[in-house]
Amino acid sequence: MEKNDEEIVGSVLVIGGGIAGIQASLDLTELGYKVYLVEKSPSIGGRMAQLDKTFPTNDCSLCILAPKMVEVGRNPNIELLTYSEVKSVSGKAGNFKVQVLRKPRYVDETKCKACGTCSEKCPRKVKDEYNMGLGQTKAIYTPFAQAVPNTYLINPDECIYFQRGKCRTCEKFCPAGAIDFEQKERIEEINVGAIIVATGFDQFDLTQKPEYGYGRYPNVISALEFERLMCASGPTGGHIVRPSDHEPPEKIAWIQCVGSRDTKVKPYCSSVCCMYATKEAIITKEHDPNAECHIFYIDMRAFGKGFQDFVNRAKEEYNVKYTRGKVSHITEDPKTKNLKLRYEDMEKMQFGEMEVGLVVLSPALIPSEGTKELAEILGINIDSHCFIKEKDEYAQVETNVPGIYMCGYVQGPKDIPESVAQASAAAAKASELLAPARGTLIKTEKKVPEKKISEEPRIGVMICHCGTNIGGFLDCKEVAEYAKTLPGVVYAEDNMYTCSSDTQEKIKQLIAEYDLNRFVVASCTPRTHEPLFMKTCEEAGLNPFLFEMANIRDQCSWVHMHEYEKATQKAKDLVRMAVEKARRLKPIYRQTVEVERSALVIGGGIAGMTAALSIAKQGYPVHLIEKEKELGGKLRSLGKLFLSGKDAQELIQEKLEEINKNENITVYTGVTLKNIEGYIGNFKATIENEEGTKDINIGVIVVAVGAESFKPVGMYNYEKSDRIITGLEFEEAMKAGNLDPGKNIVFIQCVGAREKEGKRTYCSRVCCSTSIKQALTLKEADPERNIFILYRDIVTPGKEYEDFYRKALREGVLFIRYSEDQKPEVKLSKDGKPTVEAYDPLLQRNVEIDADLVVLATPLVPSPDNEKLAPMLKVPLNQNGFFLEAHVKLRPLDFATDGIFLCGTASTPSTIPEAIDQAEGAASRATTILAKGKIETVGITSEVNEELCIGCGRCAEVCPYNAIQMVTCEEQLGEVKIVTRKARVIEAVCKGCGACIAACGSGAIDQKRFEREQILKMIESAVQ
Amino acid sequence: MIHELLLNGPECIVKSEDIWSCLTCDQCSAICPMGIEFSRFVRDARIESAKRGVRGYEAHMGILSSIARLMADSSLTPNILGDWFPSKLKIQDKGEYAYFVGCLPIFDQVFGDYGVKPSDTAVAAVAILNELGITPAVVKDGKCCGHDRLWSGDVDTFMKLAEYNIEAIDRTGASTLITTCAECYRTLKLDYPEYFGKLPFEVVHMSEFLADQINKGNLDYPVTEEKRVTYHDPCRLGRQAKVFDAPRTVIKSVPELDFVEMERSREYSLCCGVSCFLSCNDYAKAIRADRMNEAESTGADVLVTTCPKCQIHFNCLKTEVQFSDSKTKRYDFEVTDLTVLIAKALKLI
Repeated sequence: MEKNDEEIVGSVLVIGGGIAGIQASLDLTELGYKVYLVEKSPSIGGRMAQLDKTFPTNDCSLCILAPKMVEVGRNPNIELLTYSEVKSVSGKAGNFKVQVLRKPRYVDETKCKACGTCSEKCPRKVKDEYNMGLGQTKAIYTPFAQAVPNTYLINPDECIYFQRGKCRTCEKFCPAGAIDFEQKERIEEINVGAIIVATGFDQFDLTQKPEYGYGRYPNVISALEFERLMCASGPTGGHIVRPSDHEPPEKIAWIQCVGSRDTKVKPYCSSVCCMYATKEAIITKEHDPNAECHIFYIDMRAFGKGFQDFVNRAKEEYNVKYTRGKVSHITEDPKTKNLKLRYEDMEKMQFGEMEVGLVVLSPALIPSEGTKELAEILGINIDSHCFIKEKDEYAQVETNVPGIYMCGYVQGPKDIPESVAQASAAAAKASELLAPARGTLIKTEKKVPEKKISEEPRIGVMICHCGTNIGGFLDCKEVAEYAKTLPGVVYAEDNMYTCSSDTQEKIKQLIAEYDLNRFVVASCTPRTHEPLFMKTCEEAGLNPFLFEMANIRDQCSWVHMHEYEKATQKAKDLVRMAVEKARRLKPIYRQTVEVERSALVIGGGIAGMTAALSIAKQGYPVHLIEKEKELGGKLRSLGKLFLSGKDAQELIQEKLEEINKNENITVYTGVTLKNIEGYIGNFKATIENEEGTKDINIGVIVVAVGAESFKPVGMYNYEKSDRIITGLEFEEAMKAGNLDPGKNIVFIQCVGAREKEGKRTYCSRVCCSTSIKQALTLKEADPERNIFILYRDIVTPGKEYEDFYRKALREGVLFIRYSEDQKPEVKLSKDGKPTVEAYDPLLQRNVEIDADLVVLATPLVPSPDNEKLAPMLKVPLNQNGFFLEAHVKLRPLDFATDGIFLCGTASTPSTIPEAIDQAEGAASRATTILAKGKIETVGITSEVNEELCIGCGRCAEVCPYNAIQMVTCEEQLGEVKIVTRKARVIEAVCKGCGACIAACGSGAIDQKRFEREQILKMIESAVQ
Repeated sequence: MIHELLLNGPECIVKSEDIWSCLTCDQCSAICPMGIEFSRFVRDARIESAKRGVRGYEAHMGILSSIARLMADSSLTPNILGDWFPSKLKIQDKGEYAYFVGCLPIFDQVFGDYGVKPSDTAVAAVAILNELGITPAVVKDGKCCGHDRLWSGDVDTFMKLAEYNIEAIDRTGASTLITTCAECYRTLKLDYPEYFGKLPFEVVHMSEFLADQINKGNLDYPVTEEKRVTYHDPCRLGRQAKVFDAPRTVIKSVPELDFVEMERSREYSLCCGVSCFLSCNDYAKAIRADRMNEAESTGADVLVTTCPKCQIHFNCLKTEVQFSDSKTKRYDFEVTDLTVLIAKALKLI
């Protein structure tokens, strides 16, 4: 259907399939838009798929990423265009026409089953890009085992047939006949309403820093190469060994800032390296506790949530050694290939030489190759480092072209949680633009009516060979024959690929032909394939919960590769167990719960206002509540903001104007939140202000309550002189114009922050930049002033903050480092004038500064109201008292409790642009629920048998999702009426994890599809 | 040093020995991520020290600085051309191109027994210019450019020399001033304008001039002897004035020369060991030996450079008895100036 050029198109093009692109795509489909996800490499996953573990939780990277990749792969509303590139764009916001180049894989994706035979037989070995050149793959390959899509492809530059006209071995061996050398590249034209750029980063070329020997010395490697060495799926099977001799290195050194913070290479801070080097050192220690790990750094930047604690653990628990001082150069011992590092220890002011077995360089990270060309095609502005320029510091996801947005590293250096949050923000912005076209291009599937089934179980079984993955290690035919003998089994067969599309058709036919009412597939893992088979059953008119899977791959053929008979027997056992369960399966019907299509935003600071605006612009009513009499939050105390120099009050004004114009937002100020009850889609909030008490019904809640500034009573004589004030007090006083700072001003950083114990162990992220801003303002007003900043580490990550720091240095602000063990002292003279005494490590002696003013930079601390709000919402707080999100890495804006979202400093100290991104991201997350309008339960929820329930409440206590309510009710026992408690499951919230089942002492609670009876019978049949 | 200076003022620097042992070669600045020019800091510190009457330790009994100070303070007008200059070469008093001789003939006198004749470079330069059809205005009454004076902290002497030289060069009416010395080049190009404003003439190093001529196809070499050649970037021409490519273009233009780079080249080049004839000691010699070893390992027949001082310093090591003795001979390669190399390739000298 030809679309009018003026019409808004309800779809979005996402360029880049890394974690940011993936998150944006998933949010967009939930918001009601079709997505075209274009990725230039053969698989989505990006850099995160190459990492071993992620800081600060040390989760296995691919393990947390793969489910999202699979979700993208099977989402009917995401068209995945991998191995493709954007060639041209025309049109405007709301209606773009894009030409996408589809590169030929030379493998038919509808036929390829990813069995791997072609790659096994291919004679041509090729350097493996996924393994950063450390391993080898073949000319026909899949980038990694969990690739999505998992279709193989031929590299024509390496393929013997394409280069010399000979071979075609893959074609000869492919059991699916999927090889097609005739494929050509083609252009596909798509029509979308908005574009999101999420093209990520590369490591810069380390040979540009020849003093470290990268490219000359084999045992000097880059961080991503080390990740591949650590990873069990990497070229050395997860054994950390030196490239030169494959021996484990006894001593490893990490060198930070190679090319970063370097005016000659990349002047900015790459922002993630301090943390990943710490992580790599910790993982190395876990591999080998005797390995010596040394990290050479300039400033330690551990500014995110949980980061400082992570670094402390590395030092204390894992004995990782940190040396402050850059390595000037490296020489190699030609015999042992060990590396000799020459460095200066800046804490001891001594030169040192160290011999190590392996050196890992933390390189500057740069926008990925092709960003410049893509920017030209899109007409968007980039800076001199190829980062895309944002439209405005306070609208970081918008580019100069309306309708084109961005997220992730391409906007500026950031880590995974920040990328995920920004991706949701970009989705929100696209959704605001395309709201009139919401839902127009989304496919909703027609449900096949369920057929009537007989009482007696009639079970069909399929045993999958999975190419040679299973069939090569056990006798599938024998297992199929065995299955036929099991009670209830009416039909059984073995086949090559049960997951292929033609087999799905066959399953449907079999269900009809043999009148099957249960189906068992013995193949690979339910994690990836169960949804596929359940869908097939549904399409055949069979309730999808009448399907069962036996994993005879991961749990059998893969782990018993050399025991054919025993593996076959085990596969038979597993099939027997599955059949036993299948016999007892019951149909399950998912419930739908209607959602109240409005939102509550708690907190009217910059984050709260931004979240409210975004939800409202997407078309939903928002109630914005604020405890103070005015909106604006902490920004009301601030003067000019860094880096833009914009006046904080101007920013507040802009937001207020937008809020006043928007009819969807209702603002309540001077509010006390009395109560919140309910669950996702059905919350009720009770608020009170001078106008009285009111109940508000909403579907979702966004928490944006901000944080407080810490008052360091008892530190540095703070309360004893009015010439010793906090950073915020300085800001307020300068704004009010009632402070004369004088000539000599001393800033002391990390006051009451990064402490060894207690609640304030974290870095508050914004204080270094704030003090630098305040210092520059003072200097610019009077260049004769002497300004000192006493610091422990200067934290200026991001693409422009390092320049800001350098500006202060050039203006003559004097930075003096102090160590945690030798803090400065502030002495007071009789007339209240402070003198600051500190030990200067560079001069190696004490210095005394007579100050007219001492400014103590203190951290943001959680609001004391959090202690009341958290239990009201049934959400947790972390050990520092900030709100705790569902997952530190991949769900930074969600709570584990459904329907409630988080943004701004209520979560962790953030800069204003970061808080804005988080707010828009939270708005996106919240709106996905409002857009759908209803919640579908997972089906496999738990149920309470109220007769058996004694009301002990253990189930409610262990439930991580707050899905069980304890309800008081009356029970009639004969003539006696008693008041008792019963557990009641909120189906809409239950995720079917089963924790309550384990906790219940009286056996009153059971889980659908995993009932006690079903499981016990499986166990019995296992030991038959 | 820097921190101390910022906190405690210049008095602390005056007694420091560190500022005199620095070579001001800027190898540190080449790597510095903050882009700090350390050599400039040292120079400014030396100026402060000099104001307080402190002088660094000068080698060769301070003769070079004495000559420079004499030149500056006297009303004597030098005539730099002497017996060393062949009469058959064509020069004039005024012209479009001026050639600045610098201290080359003076070096002949002081370093005669080091196996080096620096004035050959000037001869070669004028010969090549003649060959190209140019009659240069050689600045006969030019004085020392003042580089060593400035970098030793003696700003007063420098200013006098500079003021005089600018006027002397201006009198030739030249629009382009060519010099064969890396230090004169840096000083004339960067420091003279800093102290005196924009100059009435453009300053070009001979290597840049020759590279330009080569790109225009104006140099035609007769067949010459095959040699392996390596190039040493002088600190003043390379790291400080950023001229790296021109000398290489020139060397590579001679077909029979096999050019190889030393291990450390361009901005990573190692200094020849001494600057301003200050603090010549074992460290200087060790650094020089390091550099000469690098040259030796390239297997080169000729070590080419574009600075007469580097040439002198390398020859100083080469002619040491322990290395020139036939039994323990080392550094058995020529140390030549680029201009002389080319003049020889053109069979002009």
